[in-house]
Amino acid sequence: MKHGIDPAKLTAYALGELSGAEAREIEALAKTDPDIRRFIDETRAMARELKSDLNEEPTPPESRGTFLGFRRFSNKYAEAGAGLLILLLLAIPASRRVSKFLHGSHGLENAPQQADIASEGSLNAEAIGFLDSLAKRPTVEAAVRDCRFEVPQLLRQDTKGEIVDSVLEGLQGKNLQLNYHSSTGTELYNLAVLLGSVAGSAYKKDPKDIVKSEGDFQFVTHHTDTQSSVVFGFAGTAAAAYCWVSVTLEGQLKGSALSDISSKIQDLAERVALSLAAKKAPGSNP
Amino acid sequence: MTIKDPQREAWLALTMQHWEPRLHRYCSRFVRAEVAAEIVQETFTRLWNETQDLAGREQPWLFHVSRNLCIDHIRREKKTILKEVEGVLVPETETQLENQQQATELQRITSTLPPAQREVVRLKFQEDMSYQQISEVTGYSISYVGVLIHEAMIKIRKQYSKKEISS
Repeated sequence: MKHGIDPAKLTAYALGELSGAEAREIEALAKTDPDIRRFIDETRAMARELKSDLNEEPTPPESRGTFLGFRRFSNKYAEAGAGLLILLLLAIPASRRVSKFLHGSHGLENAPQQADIASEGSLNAEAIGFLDSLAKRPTVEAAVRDCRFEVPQLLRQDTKGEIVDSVLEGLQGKNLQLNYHSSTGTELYNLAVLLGSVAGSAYKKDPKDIVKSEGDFQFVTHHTDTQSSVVFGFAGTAAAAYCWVSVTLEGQLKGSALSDISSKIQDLAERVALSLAAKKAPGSNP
Repeated sequence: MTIKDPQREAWLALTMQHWEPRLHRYCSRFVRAEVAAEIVQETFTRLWNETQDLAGREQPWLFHVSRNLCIDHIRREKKTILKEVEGVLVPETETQLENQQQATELQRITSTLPPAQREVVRLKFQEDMSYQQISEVTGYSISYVGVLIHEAMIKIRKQYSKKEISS
């Protein structure tokens, strides 16, 4: 390699640590110099192997987890936090002012409208299986690692509100715990919004009463980035709150209506989530 | 401690749930597992009391604080089987890889790297940190982190290819 580039920079480039002019310079060199190309490829291959191997090393057995009196593995602390979290969101007064807030002053001018959307084939079997599994448990716990169904597609196909109905059955018990795990942020975010929407739509009584009791919504997200986890959790919660308010004030919200407003739910949820997570959670004083 | 802010509580719960095992694994490389558990708890106590906005910077903050606590502990406890050399945490061989038999070839090779290289390699590939974040955790400059990782990868590749050829 007769390029005069610091080898450490080549490694940095291969590991995605360079950007801008430095990255472009190496990109250009890699196109003409096979040695550089090979070095980059080999570095990336080794990085993949290292990542895979080192992540197989076990984490220590359960740590003490006594912080603030909660054990990590019991999820008690998370439950308490998430319960209080959703209480805050659902404590929005169920009044017309809320409706105005949701539909008017934040860019959601169009209230949910019933619209006929033609069915685009049978519902994704994996999605049905997943949602059925939710419906069968009083306390719902679903780990959907590597789930592959597309949320927008799922919503489009739910023209008869079947998904909402099936989840509704699962909500007859007062506990609803949705644990969802995902490898990608977008997937997790969409799933949070979907499940939040469905759960919020299905609740028939005032969630404020529910969260005061033992059973709570619990939106716990697992993502490599903690901030994203918080944001996704808020997103699901906000979607639930939005749908609950919509159902309470404006009647049933099912199927195609859910599809129609899905983008608006996400818009609202994202803004609420980002606002709350960024402004209050990390920097606020205890 | 009175919990006054439910949103902060929820945020902390999620942060703990996600980072506690990883911090424990990280600290356990430098101190005994029981001490590591205490250090991790102390780290989260400090996080709870932290007033600066850590949005998006939780990971390097947590690792940096727990690393410093490990160093403090090692300085205090002369009886520890670990030692500190020039600010780099160095586990003794007997604790380096307790599960040596189960370790993969790459894990073994990584364990033979010089301490500073070993630490940044683990932070990079095990904790998925950027050079910037590793710099925040260790106090090394970003360019030095780059040099350490580059040198470590060269060594790892050489040793790994030797093993592959011999096997």
